[in-house]
Amino acid sequence: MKHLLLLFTALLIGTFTAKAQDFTYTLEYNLGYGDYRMSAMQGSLKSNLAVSAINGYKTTDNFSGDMIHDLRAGVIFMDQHQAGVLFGYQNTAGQNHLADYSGEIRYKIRNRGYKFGTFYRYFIAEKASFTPFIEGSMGTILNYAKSTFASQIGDEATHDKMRMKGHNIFIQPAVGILFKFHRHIGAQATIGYELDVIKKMHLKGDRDTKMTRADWSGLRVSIGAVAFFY
Amino acid sequence: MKKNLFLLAIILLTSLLYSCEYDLTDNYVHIDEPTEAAVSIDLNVIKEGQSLIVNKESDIEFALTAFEKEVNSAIFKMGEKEWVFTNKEEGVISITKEDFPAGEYTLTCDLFVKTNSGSIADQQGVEYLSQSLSWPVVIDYELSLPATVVSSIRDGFLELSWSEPTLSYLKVKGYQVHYKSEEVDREKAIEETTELVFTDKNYVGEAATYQVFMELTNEEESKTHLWPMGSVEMTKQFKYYTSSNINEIEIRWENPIKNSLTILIDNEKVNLPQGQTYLRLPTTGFGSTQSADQYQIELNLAPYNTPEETIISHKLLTGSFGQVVSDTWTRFGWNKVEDILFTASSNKVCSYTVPDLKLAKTITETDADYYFDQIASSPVSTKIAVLKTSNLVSKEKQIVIYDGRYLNKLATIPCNDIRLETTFGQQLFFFTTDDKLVYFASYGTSNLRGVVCNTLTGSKEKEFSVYSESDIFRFTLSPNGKYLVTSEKHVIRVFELNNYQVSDRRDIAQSTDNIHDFNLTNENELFTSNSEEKKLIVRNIADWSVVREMALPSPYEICNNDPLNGNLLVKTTNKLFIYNTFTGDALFSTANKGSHIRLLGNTLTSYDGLIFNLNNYLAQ
Repeated sequence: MKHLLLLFTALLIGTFTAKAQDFTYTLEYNLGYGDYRMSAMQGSLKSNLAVSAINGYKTTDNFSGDMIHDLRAGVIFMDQHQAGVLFGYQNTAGQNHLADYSGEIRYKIRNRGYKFGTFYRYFIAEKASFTPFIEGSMGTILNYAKSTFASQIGDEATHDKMRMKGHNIFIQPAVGILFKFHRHIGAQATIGYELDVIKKMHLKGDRDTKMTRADWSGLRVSIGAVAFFY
Repeated sequence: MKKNLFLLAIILLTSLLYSCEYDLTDNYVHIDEPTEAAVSIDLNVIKEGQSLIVNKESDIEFALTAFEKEVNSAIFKMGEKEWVFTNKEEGVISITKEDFPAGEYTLTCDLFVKTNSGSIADQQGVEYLSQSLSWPVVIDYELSLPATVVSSIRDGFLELSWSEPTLSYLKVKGYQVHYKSEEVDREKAIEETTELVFTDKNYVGEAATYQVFMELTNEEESKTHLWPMGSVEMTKQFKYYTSSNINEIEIRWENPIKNSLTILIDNEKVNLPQGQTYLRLPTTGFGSTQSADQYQIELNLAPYNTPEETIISHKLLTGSFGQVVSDTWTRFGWNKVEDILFTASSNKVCSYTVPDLKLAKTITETDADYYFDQIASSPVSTKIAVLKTSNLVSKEKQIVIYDGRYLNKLATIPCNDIRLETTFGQQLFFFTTDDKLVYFASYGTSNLRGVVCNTLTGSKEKEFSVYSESDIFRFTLSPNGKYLVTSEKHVIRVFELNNYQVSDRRDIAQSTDNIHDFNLTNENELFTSNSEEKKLIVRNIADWSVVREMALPSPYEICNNDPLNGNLLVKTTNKLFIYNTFTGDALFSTANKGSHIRLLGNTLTSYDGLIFNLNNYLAQ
């Protein structure tokens, strides 16, 4: 799938380069909020609670939604079409924790996802400074997760950690609005939904040991700045 | 330049991304840290101030509490010894002489109590509060301490009393009194009380052990402990004694306990006057310890208030005068030189002083395969000889010679060829006045072989043999070793011996005469009797002439003549008579209940192990 995406991107860029005088190049950065469906990882926290059986030990963080970052490079062609590549970053974490004068017990899973993909937009209004658009994107998410269990009771301390990695395939439809208030600068807002259609995770260094999967599916809302180059 | 800008951009981007890491929220719970544990402990041991006093090997029980908290462990230490109790609030510390010789010690107790704080460490079972306690301990195994439980007899009943214990946190719920008696084969808890005194009206005077326990509980009454306070050993309070003289048997008893005493004689109840503590019965005669020949007496003790519930029944057989010194199947001997009476029975030989008949010495054959049988005594020395026979198929036999004064062995004579005792009471070996021992062997029943032995070395010095035409019923050897007399069906033969070789033989035809022993006070006289004429005939052995005669009761059985004075013991079916063979006078008579009765040095002896000295009863 990665190879197909790279081939598609290369063909697109080649086509655009052939008629460079008709194209407007864009570079944009979007900052937003995403929520996630990390039910499998939430299950790990629950299991840990059940095994520990310590009163007061509870889940303090349960893979809540958090800020997302989105960087895109694209080209506008035929006035209403835009296509390009994207890079995104999203992260979340879950934790069980208890601390008092006698010690501390902590179990946490931190999960990071690096998105690589392509996108396509269709602007509803032609050559307008204010135009809504619809958008579709797809690509892969490289997952890096780390779980840590640490306890210190009296003089006795334990510390165990585990690293996991994997990749997801996502598709993300969205709608948005672009406000081009200068020939070279614009602002935009989008709302969409990321759906992870394939989710995989394994122990780092051991592909055969399957681990709890990360599911980044969820609402995506963002605002961003766009630079236009002619 | 471009490369640096690119790196800077990467660093900035990475920093930007990581600055956006999801922030985790910690969960710190404030709990007040516990500072000290309240504990209390009770020890079941005698205290003198703060010191613990131990005067015997014992188990010290403890019970401790940390009140609302849970005790994790208690570690007791004393000397080199350590006791660890985990998750227990009670236990036992054993004090033994081996571990703790007498001396002064310090007993320490380190208590580890769970905090119940609810903290992580508490929940994980690794958070404790510790408390240390210690006591000086004095161990003195010679020390006599006042009894914690005291017994007394009040109004005739057994009363136990004790003091209230001193406790730290436990409280007394009550007391239990346990009773155990092997004498009546009973063990049970007999009373629960909250009083400090207990009266056992069912105690009738038996040997018993009373143990008093305190039943303790904690404040919430969630736990109970049963700790021993002390015990009382009651020795047998009811005691009885039997004694006899020639006319009466007396049974006397001590009965300090208020109880109901019922006396049965041959299953008939006897009513005694109030306060009488003895019972006298006429003797049944001499010689038997068999139940058919005696009174069967029962002394039954029952509680005073329930006389029908017999607790102890003392059963005794009595009736024959004399004292029982041995079992049945006892042989007797008497040494004239030292005036000592001997018994041989089973695997024991005993000596008794005369006339008080007190046990002087005992020897026991350690080899269980042997038993002792006949006894003979030297007329001129302190030696005695006892036949020792094996129980095994081999029936190996030895004559063992002892010094009668000390019962130390002088010599052993193997004598597997010794003649069988075909006629009960037939003496098989004789001491002679030259202090030799002659035992008689035989190849069959019609010949005799005398084997002359050295009584110091046991060596066999000479042999002589005599032959008869028919079975020899009876034979006897004169004390001086000069005459051997045998009795056959129709003839009495007198063999003269010269230095233990047969020098002459006289055959005396007869049909009704019986031979008995030589007169042990005059070796020239042989006692014979005539069954038809029912008279004793004393004959001069040298020429068989009649020295004197005396009438005998009918039917008679001549038992023996006393080596002390030659008095003759004669038995009829129901009576015993002692005659002076010179005057023919009956010196003594009594009912006869026994078998194989002999008169030895004025002491009557019976096969049932009874003896009675007649010094004060023989008519002069």
